[in-house]
Amino acid sequence: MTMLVRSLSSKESPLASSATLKPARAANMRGGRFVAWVAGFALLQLSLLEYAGWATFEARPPAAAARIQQGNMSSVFFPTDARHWAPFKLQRIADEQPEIISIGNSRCGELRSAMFRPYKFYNACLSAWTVPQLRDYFNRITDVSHPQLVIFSMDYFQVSNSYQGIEAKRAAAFAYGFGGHTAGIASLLGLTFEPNGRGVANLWNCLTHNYPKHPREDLTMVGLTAARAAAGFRWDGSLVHQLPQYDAEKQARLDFKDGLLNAIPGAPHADEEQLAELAGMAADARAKGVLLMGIQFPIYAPTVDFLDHDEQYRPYAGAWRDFESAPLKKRFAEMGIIHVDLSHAAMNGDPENFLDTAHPSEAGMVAAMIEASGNSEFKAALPKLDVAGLKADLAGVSNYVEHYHLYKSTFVK
Amino acid sequence: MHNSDYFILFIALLAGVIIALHLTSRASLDVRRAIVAFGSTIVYYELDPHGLPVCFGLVGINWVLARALVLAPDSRKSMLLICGLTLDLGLLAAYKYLGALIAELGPTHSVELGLGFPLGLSFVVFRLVSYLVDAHSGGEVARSPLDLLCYALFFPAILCGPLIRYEPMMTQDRLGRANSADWSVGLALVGIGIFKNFVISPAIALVADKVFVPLLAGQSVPTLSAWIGMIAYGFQIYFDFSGYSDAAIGVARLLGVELPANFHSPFKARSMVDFWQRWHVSLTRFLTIYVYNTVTLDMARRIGAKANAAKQFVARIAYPTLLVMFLMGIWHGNQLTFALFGLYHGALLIVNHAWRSFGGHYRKAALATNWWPALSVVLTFLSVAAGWAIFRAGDAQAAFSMLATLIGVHEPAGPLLATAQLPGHLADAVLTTGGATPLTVGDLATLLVLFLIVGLLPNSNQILSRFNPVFEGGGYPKIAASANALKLSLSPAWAFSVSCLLVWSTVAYLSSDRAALLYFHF
Repeated sequence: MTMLVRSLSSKESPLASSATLKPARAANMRGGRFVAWVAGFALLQLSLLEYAGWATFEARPPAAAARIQQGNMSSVFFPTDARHWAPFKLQRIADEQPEIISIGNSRCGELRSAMFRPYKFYNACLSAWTVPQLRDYFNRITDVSHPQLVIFSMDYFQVSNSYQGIEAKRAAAFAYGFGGHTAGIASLLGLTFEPNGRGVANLWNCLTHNYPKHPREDLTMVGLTAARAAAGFRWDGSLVHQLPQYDAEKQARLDFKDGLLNAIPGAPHADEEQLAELAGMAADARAKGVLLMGIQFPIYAPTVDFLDHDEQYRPYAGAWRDFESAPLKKRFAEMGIIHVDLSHAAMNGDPENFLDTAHPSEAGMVAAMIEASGNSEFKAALPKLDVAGLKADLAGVSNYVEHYHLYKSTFVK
Repeated sequence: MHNSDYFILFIALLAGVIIALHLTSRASLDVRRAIVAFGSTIVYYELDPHGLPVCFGLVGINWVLARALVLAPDSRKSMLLICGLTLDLGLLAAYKYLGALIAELGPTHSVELGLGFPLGLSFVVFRLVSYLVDAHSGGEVARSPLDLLCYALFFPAILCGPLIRYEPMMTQDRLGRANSADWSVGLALVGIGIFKNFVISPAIALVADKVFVPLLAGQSVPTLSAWIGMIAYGFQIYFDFSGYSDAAIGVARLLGVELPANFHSPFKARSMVDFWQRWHVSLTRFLTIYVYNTVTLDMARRIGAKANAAKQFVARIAYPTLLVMFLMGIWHGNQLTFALFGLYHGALLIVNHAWRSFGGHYRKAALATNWWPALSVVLTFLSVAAGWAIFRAGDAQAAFSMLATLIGVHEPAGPLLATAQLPGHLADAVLTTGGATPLTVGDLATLLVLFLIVGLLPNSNQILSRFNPVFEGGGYPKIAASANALKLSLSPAWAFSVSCLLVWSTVAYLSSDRAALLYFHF
């Protein structure tokens, strides 16, 4: 074979006998066939991967999955790449045209459409973390819809440059490119062959459209990631958390070391760059005729106490103190932002109102909304809000599980 | 750029070069070399735009120097060679060591010079050094700067080799005339290479890190876990680097160029001498030709033939060996640990040579036993594994501390077993590591599988031995064939295997945002 290969080199004599040329040609043909086989098998595998990626939603553009959820209220989707959450929700907003939209980080993930009845609400949180990301997303959602009110999670740490420096990398990927697609295929493989051995069964269930039900809600977990994690975005955009997050791991999550302060960089003061960006977002809202409400959602009371009083942390709590100060609150008002600060809300002391130090549970969010309704600006922005209904809902919470699954698959259309 | 961007760029460029070469397959070799030089320039520019002028400058100067060497009278040739070597190696040394030295002087002096280490500079410089030395000895000289650019920046092997001398590579006239057999070999090598690189190496890296993270943090690690970490790290480097080499040889073959083998089942080595004839073969060969042989000849001349055996051994073997391995060590970087790593291997090689020279009847008796071959493989393997502690340590103290751990000095007080129960699941913990993450059943299973691969299976070149996968002329090692069952044939079954390697490795690569190959740092 080696000799045959060599004989095809350019050194080959033009006077080579036909007896030499024939086997050489045959070898070349065999080589050609082999390359064709390789290409064919590779194409076949790629096609199978593409099919599986499409069928399991792992490698499908987020907007495509969002469109399917439009007509399926009980379905839960969870785009595998966090950068795709924002475009997923953007499509949902374009399809649903809600009157009220919430945007921001994970702290507002438990806002439910039922909490805003009779308004039509969509939760687009877990889409923007820093102020520039919030502004960008605000403009994107107001380009595809016409909400009356946009609520955004407005936290003390967002006004520091250090947070911007760390979280800028979370920027959403609105263009679904080759990289996102291949990451989806890789996720498919990773989830299929994960060491616990359940991956293949999950894949088979997805391929046969035998999607699992959520263990505590009447929801269908669609797609490999949602099926595996039993988590994802409901029809109203709220997040169904993984069960261990508030069952087994809750106490650890309420611990300081695992809480907000560990995840968020401290900062000596609020930075003008972030405040200017915030003012820019407010100006954008005014220009588009959209009311802008910034809510600092509840924080577990011991963490607030730490931020307020811990002497060692004091140099790092400058942004917190600035944010809570009267001059900055005045500036927010001057920008035209309705600022609602729930960091010192009375409901903050009850651990059942939280998944961890910075993430209110569903019942916790209802309690927060009830407290917020005491704010005159909040009330003016949401005059028809059924506060009495919220109180009744909260009074109906009878057990531990209902704190995290208060409205289950109840949606307000 | 993300991995997918690099992937698209590389595939587009490779396709462009292959198509251009195909269209010009009847044109002169100069045209085809120019196409490859152009393609290599684009690849280099995309990877490291700041390093490109440095490479261009080096190629230009070395081309002029080599031409001058040809034309100059004999009396001036050595001076020209010394000038060239000083420039090439001086520049390499400056990039490798000067930045760190300036930084050591303190904040006032540690100015940002903006002199990032150009990617693959070590390999570019070594190619040019060999070119210049060979030109001095009457070897082939590049006709145009483009020829030398094609050789020095040859894009399939730009980052990590294999190193090949100018003449063996550039006298191959099949550049751009690859036939379907070349394509078969090329695709198979690329498949095997990227599978090693993007699938196996990252998998075993997770195991190595479980041990090295606590080790590097100064925590006590059980001796057994430490050994497992060392072995895992050795496998990580081997699969990473040999995978790159295989892929480089494969891509070159798609262009019609044969490159020499860089690895030849190093973990089957029966001695340290044998190991270095199997590990990073092209670098070993480079150092042997250009340093070891030169120093040995010089020392032989100095001490003469009448010196006693011990003196002969020290002057002709021990000293050149230690020098070569020291240079090999510091070639990796400016840390003291790299120098120690070279000296460690130098010392092992000297012991090996001494055993060969002075072992006498003890050696003969050992060789006559049945158990000696197995024992020598194990001893070599463990000696190499221990060396990785020095290689990866951040400083000398950490290196010695790790070595002490390997001989049981820092054995922690806690239990070695992570659980009292019998593990029944791949994710179940088995051995403690002193760190947060214990070694699991899956980790040990991965290690076992890799033991079987490196110990029992033929290497990639042996699998492809029917097709002469690597360049074997000019003193480069010949590859022994493997058993028939594991020799690649042009059957659909092998085509399926190759396609699986290509597809799954590519998906693994695209899904990870690994910064770079381990060897890019050197």
